[in-house]
Amino acid sequence: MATETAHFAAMMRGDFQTPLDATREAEREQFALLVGRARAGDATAFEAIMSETERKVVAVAWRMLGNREDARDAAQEVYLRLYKYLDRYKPEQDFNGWLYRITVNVCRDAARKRGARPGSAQFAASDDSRERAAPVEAVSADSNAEENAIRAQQREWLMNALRTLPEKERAAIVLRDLEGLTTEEVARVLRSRPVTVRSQISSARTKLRQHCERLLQRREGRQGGERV
Amino acid sequence: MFKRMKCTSVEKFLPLYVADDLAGARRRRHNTVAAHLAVCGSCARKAAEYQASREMFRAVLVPPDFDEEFYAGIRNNVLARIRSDRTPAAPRGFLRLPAARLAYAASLGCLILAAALALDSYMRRTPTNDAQRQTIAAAAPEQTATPAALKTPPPVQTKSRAAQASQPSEEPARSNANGLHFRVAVSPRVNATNDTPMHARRKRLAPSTAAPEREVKTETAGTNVASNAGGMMSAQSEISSAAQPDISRIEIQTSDPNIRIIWLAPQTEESKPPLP
Repeated sequence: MATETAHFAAMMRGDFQTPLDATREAEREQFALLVGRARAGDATAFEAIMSETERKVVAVAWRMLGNREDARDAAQEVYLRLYKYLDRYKPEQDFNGWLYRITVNVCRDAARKRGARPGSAQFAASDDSRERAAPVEAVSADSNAEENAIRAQQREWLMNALRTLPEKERAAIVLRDLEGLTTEEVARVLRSRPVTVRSQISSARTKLRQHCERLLQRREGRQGGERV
Repeated sequence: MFKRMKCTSVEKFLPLYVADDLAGARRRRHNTVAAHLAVCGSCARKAAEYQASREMFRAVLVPPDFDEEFYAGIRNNVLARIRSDRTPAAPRGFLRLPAARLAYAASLGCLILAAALALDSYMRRTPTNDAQRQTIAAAAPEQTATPAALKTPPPVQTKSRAAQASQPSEEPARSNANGLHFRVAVSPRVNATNDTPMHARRKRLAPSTAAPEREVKTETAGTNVASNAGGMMSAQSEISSAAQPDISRIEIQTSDPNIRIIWLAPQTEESKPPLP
């Protein structure tokens, strides 16, 4: 009875927390503690931050840049920047949002550099045989080689489709649809307005649907040709 | 009952509807689209396509399962770089860019230069104190009358305007051993211009056909020789030998408009103008 009353009072005050909010709050406190230690020169604390977040950072970098080597370089640059600007982090700030913002900025810089480099404009994993081999190995146990080949082809196709999107749309769709952030969180990461992010996401989804349609038509055409 | 939407309007919202992005404050629109999709097969098919492409996108673009060695490599490289290169945080804002730093330094230099010029201008305009305005006496040369001694007479300098203002406009005539008389006369009107702004003084002191500001009279054996000394800021020399054939008068206007140096020198044979 007393617990229900406390919950009701919290709801009335507007500071009622869902379990998700509570998890995020605990996460924020944990990172604030680690950042404080790292700022004081504790290398193990910084290493702990890296261990906690590296998969997320590498995933975003890989989705934004499209291959393993660039993703690795970008992740390293993200952590170097993070270390450099540790003193700008405020404990009340969302650490993950801050990290996403650094990652997106690093990936944008890397994409621009790569775009300026002659002969390296291809987004698709043309030189990443190891990268392509990894998921193939992961799924080869329960699927045949043809399925894997189709999967790899689809991925290459969608990677190319993602590459054709403008920088901001690409970042917005990666964070919203692939990382699972809410529109408001994406807007905070990209330092934009939610309505702008919605517009970018809408535009990106329309373009990706057109790419997918073409991909499906191509597959159907090929299958029809094989039958003939 | 929701108002029926047209298909074209619904199509605009489909990319957001499929991922529930019309929820929250846009719940009413979400419900309107849902109602339309329930009755419109064409739009429902498009919504299904959006949904399928989104699902495919999420399913296919799963990052590869990088091994632990890959992540350990990232961590080690970062820590090694941090240990070797402990750089302080870069300055915030525009100063992060080298070009911006250069522009900042250049503008600072310009500012210092402008301040120096303004200070210089102010110092020139401010009346100097009496000690600084002491007269560089229009002393007559006290050499002997021999031609050899007259070759290098000491310079005759006018007084500063302010100093002259406190004295009679015409000094008593002086005479040297040779019997030559020198008199420096400064009109009081010129003295009054001492406190005027610099540009006004320059204007007045510029060589022109207007009345001379300063008149320097040289009396030699009872003969007055007057000439205009209107030059300014640059050294000028003037030889007035028409009235006195043996004495050359050289006026040098220094950069300070208050100081003028006058030499009286014996005229050599070469410098004498040809006789008519």
